[in-house]
Amino acid sequence: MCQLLRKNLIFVLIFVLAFGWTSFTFSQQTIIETTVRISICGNNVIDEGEVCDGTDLAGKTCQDFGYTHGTLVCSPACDAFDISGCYTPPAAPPSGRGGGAPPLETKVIFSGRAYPESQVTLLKDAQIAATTVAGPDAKFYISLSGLSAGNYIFSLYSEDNRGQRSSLLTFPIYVTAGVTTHVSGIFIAPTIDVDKSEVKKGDIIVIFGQSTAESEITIVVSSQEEIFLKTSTDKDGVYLHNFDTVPLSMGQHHTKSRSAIEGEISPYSKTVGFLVGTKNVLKEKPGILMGDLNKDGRVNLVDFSIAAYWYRRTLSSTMKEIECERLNCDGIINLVDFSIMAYYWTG
Amino acid sequence: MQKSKLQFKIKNLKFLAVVFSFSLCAFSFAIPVSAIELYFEPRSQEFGLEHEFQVSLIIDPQGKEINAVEASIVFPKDLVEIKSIEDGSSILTLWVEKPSVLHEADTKIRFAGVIPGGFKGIMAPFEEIYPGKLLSLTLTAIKEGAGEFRLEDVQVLLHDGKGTKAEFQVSGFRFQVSEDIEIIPVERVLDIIPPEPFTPEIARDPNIFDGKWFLVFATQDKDSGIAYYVIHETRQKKEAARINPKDWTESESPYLLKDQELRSYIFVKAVDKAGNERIAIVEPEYPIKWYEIWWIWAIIIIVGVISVIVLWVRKRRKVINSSF
Repeated sequence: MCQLLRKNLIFVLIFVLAFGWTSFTFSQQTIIETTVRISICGNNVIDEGEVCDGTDLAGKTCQDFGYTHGTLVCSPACDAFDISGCYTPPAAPPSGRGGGAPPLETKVIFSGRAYPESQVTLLKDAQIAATTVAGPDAKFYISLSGLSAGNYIFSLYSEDNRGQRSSLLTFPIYVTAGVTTHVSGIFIAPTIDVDKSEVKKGDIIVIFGQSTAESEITIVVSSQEEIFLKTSTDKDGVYLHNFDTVPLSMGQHHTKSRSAIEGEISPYSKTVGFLVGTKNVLKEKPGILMGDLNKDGRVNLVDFSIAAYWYRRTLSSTMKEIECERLNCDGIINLVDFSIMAYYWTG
Repeated sequence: MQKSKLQFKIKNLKFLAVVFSFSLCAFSFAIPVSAIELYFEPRSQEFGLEHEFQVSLIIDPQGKEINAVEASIVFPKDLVEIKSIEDGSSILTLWVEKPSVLHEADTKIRFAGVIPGGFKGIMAPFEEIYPGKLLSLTLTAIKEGAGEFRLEDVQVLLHDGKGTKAEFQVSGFRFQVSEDIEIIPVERVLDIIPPEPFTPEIARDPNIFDGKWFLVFATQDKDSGIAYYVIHETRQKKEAARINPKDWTESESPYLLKDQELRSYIFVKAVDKAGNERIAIVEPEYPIKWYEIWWIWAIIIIVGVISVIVLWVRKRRKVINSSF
C-alpha cells in the first residue's frame, strides 16, 4: 500500500505542479501597474488623497479647529474642511449657513505633471473636451463638469516645446452622479526623438525630448541586452543624451524613456526607431502619423469617418495607397485598421 | 487471474493519471492563462414566461490592453424576443458597426467598436480595476424551454498599434424559461438626461464623396444610448425649436452636406432611446451677407418706391398750391 502511494506520489506531484502553475500564472497576470490615484468625492468615504468626504469628516469636529459650536463641513472638492459653519459664542453665528449639503455636481478633476508650460489636452470618449496649459513646474489641473453617470473613457496627452505629442494616457472611469471624482498623480510620459534615422556604427546618436523640469530620465535602448542610460532634464524640462553606438550591433534598434521625480515615475514614452548602419542620415521631420488618413497631423473623428466610409468596400487606387502607407496595407478596411487608428488617436 | 486483472486496472489507472496530469499541464499552456474573457452577466438564470429580463455582455481584459472588439451574439428567437439593445454605457466609444439584429439572420446581433486610447479595465479607488460593459440586452421570454446565448465571430485586438489579435475565452449565457417561476419585473430607471454635448466638424477629403464637404459627428448617451441623429441645413438663422419636424433628415456620420458652398447653419440633433434630445449647431463658414438676401432688397425697393411716390405727390401738391 505504502509502495503504491510512493509510486503514485509522482503523479500527485505532477498534478499539484500543473495546477499550481495555472493558479500562479493566473494570479501573476492579473496585477495591473498603475501610478494614478482615483478618489471619489461625494461617496461619504475618505479615499486616497482626500481629507474628508461628505459626512465622513475623519472624526474631526469644530472643536478641533478651535471653535466651540457649529457644524464642520467637508469642502465640495474633499480636499479641505470648511470651517465657515464653526463659531464660538458669544460671537453671533454666521448667517445664511445651516451646515447644509454642498451642491451635487457631477465632476471629474485631473491633476498631475506634464512638461513646463506645455499644452495638456483632455479627451472625453475620444473627442477633445478641454485643454489647459501646465505651469512652469509642469503641474496641471483640469476640471470637467456637466457629466452624466456612466462609463467614460478619458485620455490625456501633452505637446512638448517642439510640438511633439506624448503617448496617450487613458483613464476609463465610472462616473457617479452627484460626486466629484479625482484622478491625481498623473505623470505624462516624456517625449522622445533621435537626430538620425541611420547612424554609422560607432558614431554618436542624440536622444532628446522633454519632461518635468529637473527630473531624472531613464533612456532604454534595445539591443541584445537592453542598455539603460541616465540623464536629467533642465529647468525647462528638456533632456538630451549623446549616445555612443559602439555597443550596438548593426541593424534596427529602438529607444524609449521615462521620467522620475520625488518618488513618482512616469510611464514609458513612445518608442522611436533608428538604424545602426554604415552611414549617418539625419532624421526627416515630420514622419508619417499612422492612422492620419486625411494627413492633417491628427487622428480623430474625420479619419475614423473616412475609414468607416470604406469599411468592407473595395478601395479606390488612391485609398489603397493611403491604407498601405498609414494603416496595415492589406488592401481592405477592417477592424484591424480601426485598432491602429485607436492606438495613434489624438482627438 | 484476479491478481493480473487488478494489476491491469492499477496500470490503467496510472496511465490515466499520467495522461490526466500531462493533459492538464498541456492545457495550462495551450489555453492562455488569464486570457481576456467575454461573458454575460448574469452567467445563467431561470425566468418566468413573459418575464422581461436584462443581460449584459462584459469584457474582462485581465490586465491586457485592448482597443477593438467585434462579435456576434446568437440567440434562440423561438424562446426570447429582443426588446431593446442598450449601448449607452458601453466602453466602446466609437461604433464601427452599431449593435443591431442582423436582417439576414434575425437570431444574431452583430457589433464592432473601438476604444481610442485603449482599455485595461474600469479604474476605481484603491487601484481596483473592474471589467467593462460592451452592451446590454432587454429580452422577453416567449416560450418555455432551455436556451443559450452564444458568441460567434469574436475578435479582440490589442492596443499595440498593429491590431494584433488577442487570445480570449468566451462564455455563453444559459437560461431556462419556466411557467411556474414568479415574474419579477425589470427595474427600469427613467432616462431623463439628454445625450452628451458634442461638436460636429466639417471636413473634405478626396477619398470620400468625390472630395465634397461632409460633416462628422458622434456623441454618447450614458443611459439608454443614442437612437438616431437628424440633420437640418438652412441659410436662415433661426432657433432650433422653430425648425419644422418634417425638415429634419435622419442621417449618420459621415454626412454629405447639401450646401457645398458652406453658407448654411447646420443643426445636428442626437436623440436617445428615451426620446431626449441634444442639438449641436455648426455656424456657416461663409454666412449670407445682408445684401444677398432678396427680401431685404424687396423691402428696400418697396420703401424706395413708396418714398419716391410720397415725395412726388408732395412736390406735385406744392406745385399745385403755388400755381393757385
